[in-house]
Amino acid sequence: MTTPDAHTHALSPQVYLVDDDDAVRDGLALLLRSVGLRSTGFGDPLAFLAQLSPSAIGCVVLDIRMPGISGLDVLSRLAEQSDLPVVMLTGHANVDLCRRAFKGGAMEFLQKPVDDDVFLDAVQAAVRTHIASRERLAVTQAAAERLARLSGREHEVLERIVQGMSNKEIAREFDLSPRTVETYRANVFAKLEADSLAQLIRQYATLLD
Amino acid sequence: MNPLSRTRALFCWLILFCLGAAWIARQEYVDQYDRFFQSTSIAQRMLSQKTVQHEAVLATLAALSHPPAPERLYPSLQPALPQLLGLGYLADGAWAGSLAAPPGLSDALERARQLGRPVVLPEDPARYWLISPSSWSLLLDARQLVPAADFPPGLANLSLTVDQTSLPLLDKQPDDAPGLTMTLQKPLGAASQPFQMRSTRTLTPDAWPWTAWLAWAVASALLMAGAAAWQRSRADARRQQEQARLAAMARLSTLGEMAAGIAHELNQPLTAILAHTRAAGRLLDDDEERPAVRHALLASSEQAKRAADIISRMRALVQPSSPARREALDPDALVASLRFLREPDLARQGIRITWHNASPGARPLGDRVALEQILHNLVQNAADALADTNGPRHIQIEGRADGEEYLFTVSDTGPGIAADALPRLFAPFYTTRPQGMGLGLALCDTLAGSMDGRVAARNLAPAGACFTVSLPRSGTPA
Repeated sequence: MTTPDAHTHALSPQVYLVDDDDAVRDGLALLLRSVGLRSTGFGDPLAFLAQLSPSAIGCVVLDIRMPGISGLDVLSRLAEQSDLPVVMLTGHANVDLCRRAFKGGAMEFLQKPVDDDVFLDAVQAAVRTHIASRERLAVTQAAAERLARLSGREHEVLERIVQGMSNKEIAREFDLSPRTVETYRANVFAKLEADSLAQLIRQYATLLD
Repeated sequence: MNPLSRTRALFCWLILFCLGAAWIARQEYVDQYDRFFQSTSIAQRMLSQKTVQHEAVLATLAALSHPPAPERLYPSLQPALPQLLGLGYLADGAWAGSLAAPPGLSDALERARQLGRPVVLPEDPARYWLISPSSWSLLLDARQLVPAADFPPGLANLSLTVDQTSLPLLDKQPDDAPGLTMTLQKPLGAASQPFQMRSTRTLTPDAWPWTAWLAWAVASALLMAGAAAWQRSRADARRQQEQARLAAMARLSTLGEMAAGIAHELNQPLTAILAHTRAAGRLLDDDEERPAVRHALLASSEQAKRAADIISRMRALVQPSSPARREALDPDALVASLRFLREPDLARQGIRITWHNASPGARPLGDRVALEQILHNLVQNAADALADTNGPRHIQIEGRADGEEYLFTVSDTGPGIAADALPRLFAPFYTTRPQGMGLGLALCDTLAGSMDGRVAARNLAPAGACFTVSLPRSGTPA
């Protein structure tokens, strides 16, 4: 079982196993290791919530029935401080518990004892989903930074380009010569590191609203 | 008693008191009015009698052919008629009387002759001349018609109107006395002197029925307190009964909870075993992972032992290590307690439960709690079987002695037991219900066995299932 420092490994995916039963945690950790996923076990859900870093990547495996605090309560508190996907485990599933878990934002709801393939598929899917969403976030952040480099007039020209206006139409609107507009257009492409009009529109159209 | 119902009781008492007090007041008023009415009628008759007497005197005087001189007549009449102040007549056109002739005599005489009866000629509010057609006239004082002391005691104020202004005859109450005023007005009976008599009496607060009211206030408060106490004690009894029922239900349902708890307890080691063995299988081909595989196998065997421990703990709970108690049990009391627990619940499902003791006096030997548990489970099974029945819903419990045994039978009118289920019915974890644990009948069998008894099942014709619990009987050689 791995007990890494959460900060040094913040950028590599990590599965957080929250279950009060040592043996269950131990077994699930070994299963995860067999597919190369690193994990950290927590017997106490409150200690887990206190220690969790907002930049953590991976997913959480959460038991519903734990002494002191219900897994559903942990789920709602986790949603407030992290975007980690959650796989819920329960000893006795019923429709009501299941409904409440999904309403609380759980990604999967599995019944103990859990089949290894089903468990690993669910955890791997959750980790993949989280990494993908983090990447999308990083791309969006980089694009926003580049967008901030544009001057006021360049920003206005970019808006018209994205709307599909030609250089001539833009020149008429701002009372500029088409040549000047051509210069702004070149600056926009250079500053935004875009190679084609299609790439420009795909990356920045959503950020301009 | 909570504050709300205290206020409510006070409110109820207030309403009760007001209704009673109003009734008392009404009765009192009716009584007083009756007395007042009678007294007034007596006063009216007394006054009328006097006025009629005047007419009679005048008629007698008119009939005299040689009337005596009025001055001599007056002293002889006055003692009998204290109200008579004077008299006289026209003797051959000239006035002869004990007093001077009244002014307006001739007009009045004219009127009297026209009417053919005496007429009144007032002198002042109290005194009047009564002039007959024969010209005989009497001067009368209305104040002295009846001495004040002779009026009945039920009167307060009495007045007579002789000449426009009213003349007080009795004045026992001031006019502005506070309270409820009764008034009666009647003319006097003589046609010649139809003076209006007016009688009033005010029921002042000192005449109100204070004693009766006070008595009613105390009586109604006692009544209300009694009713509240009775209601409270009834609610208490109901609550106690309900609590007793709940406590007994809780004792019997712990079995179900225990089973659910055991299921959860077993799930944990099973999860760990499954995870460890599957992980070991996945890592088996990697030489570097050999220590991890060894650890996984060790851990799974540990968890298997943990599961076995849980099961033996459960056995220890279900089968008491000490032999079951043996005591002579009263089947009637036992079934009564069972029906007390289940009847409301069953009634809600439209199920009738009856008890028939075929051998009164016979006593089964066993442990009361264990036997209660068995019967409870059998009744519960019967109720479940009846849940989907459209026909009559009836559970019949019967007790009878059979040789050296005592038999309880629990039969229902449900669909009966499927033929393939019958042989496995008492096997643990065998169930025909989706939510069932399959422990109920197995436990019944175990419990009966601990009392040297047994449970058997059969189907009834045309429909229904019948379970028989046989126990040793008290008073037979064991």
